[in-house]
Amino acid sequence: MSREIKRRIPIGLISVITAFFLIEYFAAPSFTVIHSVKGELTVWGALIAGFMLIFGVFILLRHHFLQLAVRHAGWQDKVCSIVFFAAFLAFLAVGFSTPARVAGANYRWIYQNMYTPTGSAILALCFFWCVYGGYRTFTIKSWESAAIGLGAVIYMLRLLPIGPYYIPQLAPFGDWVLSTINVGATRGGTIAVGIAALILGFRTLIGKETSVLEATKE
Amino acid sequence: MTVTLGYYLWRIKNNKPLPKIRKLPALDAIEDGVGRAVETGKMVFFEPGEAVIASSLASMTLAAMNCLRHTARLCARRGAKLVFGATGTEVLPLAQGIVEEAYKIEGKPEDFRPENVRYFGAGFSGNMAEASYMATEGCASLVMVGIFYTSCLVLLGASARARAMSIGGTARWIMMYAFGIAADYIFMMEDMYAASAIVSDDPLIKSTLAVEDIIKIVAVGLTIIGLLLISLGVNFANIIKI
Repeated sequence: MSREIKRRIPIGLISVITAFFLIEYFAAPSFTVIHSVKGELTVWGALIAGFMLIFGVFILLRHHFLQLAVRHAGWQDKVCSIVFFAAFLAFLAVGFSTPARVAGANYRWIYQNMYTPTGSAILALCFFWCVYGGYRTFTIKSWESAAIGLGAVIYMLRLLPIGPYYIPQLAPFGDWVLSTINVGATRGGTIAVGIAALILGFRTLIGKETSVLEATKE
Repeated sequence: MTVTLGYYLWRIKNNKPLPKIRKLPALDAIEDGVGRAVETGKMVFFEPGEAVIASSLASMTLAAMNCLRHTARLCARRGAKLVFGATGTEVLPLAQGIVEEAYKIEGKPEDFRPENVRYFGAGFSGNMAEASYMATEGCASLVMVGIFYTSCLVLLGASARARAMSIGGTARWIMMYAFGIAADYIFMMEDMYAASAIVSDDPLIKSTLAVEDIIKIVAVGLTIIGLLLISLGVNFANIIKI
C-alpha cells in the first residue's frame, strides 16, 4: 500500500464519521437506525481509546525496562524504574487476585491506603509549588500584566477579612469586577474558542485537519 | 460560515489574493526557542497537558499535536533535542508517531529517540516529575500547549528556575491567568487552534482563519444589535417565537 493511500484512508474515515455524527445530532428521534449506529460508533471510540491506553502502558514499560537493562542510566533513574515495576506488579497482582478485580476489597484497600494518601501528599506539595511558580515568574512589565496584578490584589484583599474591614467599598467593587468585567471577558473568550473549535471541526470534516497524521505528502 | 468559506474557495480557484494572516508571536517564539536549544545544547521540552482524546476537550489535544509536529520538525531540522513529556498514557502512541514522522520528513530518522517521548506519571505527580527532570537535565525552552489545570504553574515555575524560555497557552479561559503571569509568550485561547492553520502551507486552511474572524465580527455585531434591542425594550426572542 502506497504512503499516499495509507494517509488517505484515515483522513476519509475521520471525515465520514465526523459527517455522520453531525447528521445524527440533527436527525429526528424517529431515525432509529442513525441513532443506534452512532451509539455503536461511540462504543468503538471508547474501545480504540482503551487500546491506545494499553499501547501507552506498553511504551511506559518499555521505557523503564530499557532504563534498567540497556542504557547507562544514573542510579536514581534505576531506583525509580525498580519502584515503578514493584508498584506496577503489586497493583496487577492484587487486581487479579480476586474475581472482583479492581472492585475487590484488596485492590480498594491498596488504592485507598497507598495510592490516595501518596497522591494527596503530592497534591499538597504541588500547590506550594504553584504559588512559588507564580511568585518566581510574575513581573509587571506591560499594561496587561499590570491589569492582572491589580485584579489579583483586589481579589485577594476582597477575600481576606482585613480588606473589607479597612476598605468597605472593596467587597461591592470586587463583586462588580467578578460579575461584570470578568463575565463579559469570559463570554467573549468562550465564544471565540467555540468558533475556533467549530472551524477545526470543519477542517476535520473536509479532511484538511491532519494534526494526527503525517505533516506533508512527501 | 459556508458562504464565507465558499467565497474564499472561489478566490483560491481564481488566483485572487487571500487576506493576510496575522502573525502569532508565540508561534515565531517556538522557532527562537529551538534556536536557543541548539545554542545552549539543552533540550526543548514539550508538554501537552492533560492530553485526552476521548473527551469533549479533544480539540485542544489535536491543536497541541499540531504544535508538537511543528516543534518536532524544527528540532529535527536544526538538530535540537526534543523531549515530549506526557502526564497521560492515552496520547503517547500518537505523540511518538508524530515525532518519528517529523524526523523522517526532515530526512533525519536516525536522530529520533523513542525514549524522548516519555510518560512522567499522572496529574500533579507527573508535573512534579517533569519539573524535576527539567531541573536535572537543563532546559532551553518549554512549549506547553493543550489542556491545562492549576498544575501548569509547577512547570512554568520550574522553567523560570532553569532559565528556560516558556511558550504556552490553553483554550481553557480559567487557566489563561497562569500563562499570562508566567509564560514568556502565550497562545491566547483560540490562538492555539489558529497555530495549526498558520503552520500549514494550504491556502484553504489559511482562509479558514479569515472565516473564523468574519464569524467573530458577525457574533460581535449580533451582540451589539441584541444589546440595543433589549435596551429599547424589544425582545427579539418573543418576535421569532423562541
